[in-house]
Amino acid sequence: MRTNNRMQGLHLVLSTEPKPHLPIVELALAAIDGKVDSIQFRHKGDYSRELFAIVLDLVKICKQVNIPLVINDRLDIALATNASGVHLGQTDLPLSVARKLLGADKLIGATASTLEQAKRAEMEGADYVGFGHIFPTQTKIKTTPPVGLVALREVCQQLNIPVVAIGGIDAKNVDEVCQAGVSGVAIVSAICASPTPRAATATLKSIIQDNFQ
Amino acid sequence: MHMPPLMLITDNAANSQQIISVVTNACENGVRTVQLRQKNMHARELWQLANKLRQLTAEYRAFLTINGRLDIALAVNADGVHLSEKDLSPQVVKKLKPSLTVGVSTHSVESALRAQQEGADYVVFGPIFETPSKIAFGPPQGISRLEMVTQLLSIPVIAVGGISFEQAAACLAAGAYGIAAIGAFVQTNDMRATVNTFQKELDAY
Repeated sequence: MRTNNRMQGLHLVLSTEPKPHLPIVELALAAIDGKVDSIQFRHKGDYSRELFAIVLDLVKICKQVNIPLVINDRLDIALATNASGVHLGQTDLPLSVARKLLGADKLIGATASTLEQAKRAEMEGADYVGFGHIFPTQTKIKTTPPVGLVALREVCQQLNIPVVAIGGIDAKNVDEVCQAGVSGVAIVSAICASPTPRAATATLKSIIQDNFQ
Repeated sequence: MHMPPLMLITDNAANSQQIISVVTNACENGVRTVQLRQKNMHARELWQLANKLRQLTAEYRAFLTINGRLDIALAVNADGVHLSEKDLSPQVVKKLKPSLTVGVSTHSVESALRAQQEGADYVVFGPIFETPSKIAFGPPQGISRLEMVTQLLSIPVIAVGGISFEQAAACLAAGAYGIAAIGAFVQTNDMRATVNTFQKELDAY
């Protein structure tokens, strides 16, 4: 694993869908208070000016507390806001194209749901892999079954880049995810849909920290 | 890069194969400005399609602009990016890539003025007439609004929306720099005749 791993610990996926109870920026601030280690902003569809302004705020806030902020899918938004990088799914722009546009210093993450996809992402120059979905999840409508902990463990063993587990992870199952050898844990609804996102973040963070010590 | 005044906009309801075939046919018959506009495609598929259209348009030295996705415009080395009036400001694009031609689709006089203030290189204004593909953008603006916009703006104005051959002349007389169309290129069974007829009107101005 790389020594300058910027995708370690608790990774929050701030998704506009389903619509969170709190405004995006407030949610980010709550998670930062709860000591989140990195954030991914995810919005499918057009970026309005309001949304672009929100991303600019998120970039500023994350820079202040020195945590990475990556943008899902939209390389142009990442470039225009000078975010830390992008997170690309299997139907988004290819990694090689993204690397050419973003340069060597920006973070590029890739979603994988099989070992083969994860290895290919590593080969094509991803800085980290988001592997999942580990457990059943309602956040996104899934056409495939969960990959489970056995597959996660194998990916963690075979990859040299950091692996961030995603999908249906909450305070109850985060322990076993950590024990599979991940570098980070990505959380969507367990924070975004929580009535107390700061506390939810802090709880998850302390379990993750206990595992990594 | 120079943007010739007859713009083909791809049909949002068409698939990649259909789009490639229409654009190929159009370029073979003299169209030299193409806007790729696909709102429902994932980035990877859009990028693949944009790559194809870039190769095609390069062969004909035609102008290619990509609707909405600046990253894909950059990735395929398109000549321009085309924004909706609700999208990012043209300033954001110009800051990242000054050489890219930035167009904005506008549906009111105010929005056309704002696009110019924000650094757009041209606007597309419409719908001028009734057309199924532009119903979502409100009632037709008509020739008189078009004329108002062309008089107020110093950048080129391209008229869009249900423009037939006969009406093309009226749009140009109202000061439009060019004409954009989707349906006229999709529905025609004689591309050469379609392009020539439009081109004749454009050449007259």
